Amino acid sequence: MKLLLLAFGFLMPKLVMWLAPAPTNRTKPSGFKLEDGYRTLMTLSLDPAVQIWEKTVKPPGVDGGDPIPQTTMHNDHWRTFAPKALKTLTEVTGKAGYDPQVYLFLFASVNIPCTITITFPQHGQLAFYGFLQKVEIDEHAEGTMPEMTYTIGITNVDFANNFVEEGPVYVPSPGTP
Amino acid sequence: MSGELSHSPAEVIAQLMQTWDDAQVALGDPSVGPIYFSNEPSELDDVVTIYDSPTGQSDGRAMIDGELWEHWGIQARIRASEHKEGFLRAKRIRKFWSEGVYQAVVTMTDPAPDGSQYVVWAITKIGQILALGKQTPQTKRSIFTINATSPIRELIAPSG
Repeated sequence: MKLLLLAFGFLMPKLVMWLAPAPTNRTKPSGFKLEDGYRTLMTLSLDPAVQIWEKTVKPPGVDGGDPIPQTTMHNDHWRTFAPKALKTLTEVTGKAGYDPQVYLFLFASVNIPCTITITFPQHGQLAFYGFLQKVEIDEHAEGTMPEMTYTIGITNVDFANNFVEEGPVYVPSPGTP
Repeated sequence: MSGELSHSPAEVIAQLMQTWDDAQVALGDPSVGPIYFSNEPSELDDVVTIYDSPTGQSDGRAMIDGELWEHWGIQARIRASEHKEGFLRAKRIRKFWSEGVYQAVVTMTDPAPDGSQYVVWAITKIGQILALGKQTPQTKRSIFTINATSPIRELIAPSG
């Protein structure tokens, strides 16, 4: 009977809840690990030559959100959880030097949907829909270079096509993964 | 980040700079060299010597295979018969390091091609030009140094 149940579990693993997890050995990645942050760029499709000079760029991450508790009075030893179905592409932030003329761009372009592109050091590019959410000008002081802190909000919505959901796209550079 | 290196970082950077300097001379610009590594010759007034330096940075170690990652420490030492000329040469080197090196592939040809190649990702954390004054009491040559770090990866090991 037990063998029969195991065979059934192999065929339909989702229905068999009592199999312990099986360890998986780690294998060496075959990809191309970045060796330095130079040079990472942020492009706004509204103005690819916007008058800022990136000093740091924090590319977006992917956040699945907090696990959904599944624990009931029928749990025996462990609290149980389920992952959420949807994911969030997290915001982009960074620091940059700037030309004060950029204010003209900011007045017209903050909160306007556009395409954002992050160019990675090995020339791969991540494009997604978003908007320039916030620019904070850091305190000016004698002896330091004025900088701004920018924040890119992410919409995942195709603003030019009836605002339908559209996720990010990664375009590898030629010759690299 | 580094992995295996069959040449010292100073040797690789000296080779990279020699290639750049040769290209500058071919374009009609003055040379910053000759460029040596690890040993500064005593007989020439105007030389550049690249040293391995302990100013590098450890980037950690891979749990998978134990590979060490680092930004190697390098130092350029510029010696000149004239203070102004030495400073300007140091400035040109600093500019080349900051604006001219980005995933540069270096083929080792000095003293003879050995088939090896490296990629110099960038030269980073480039310090200010440090004017050390005159090389007294031996000579009145001016000495300048620049410190930096660089992640270097070997693409092709030397043959033979």
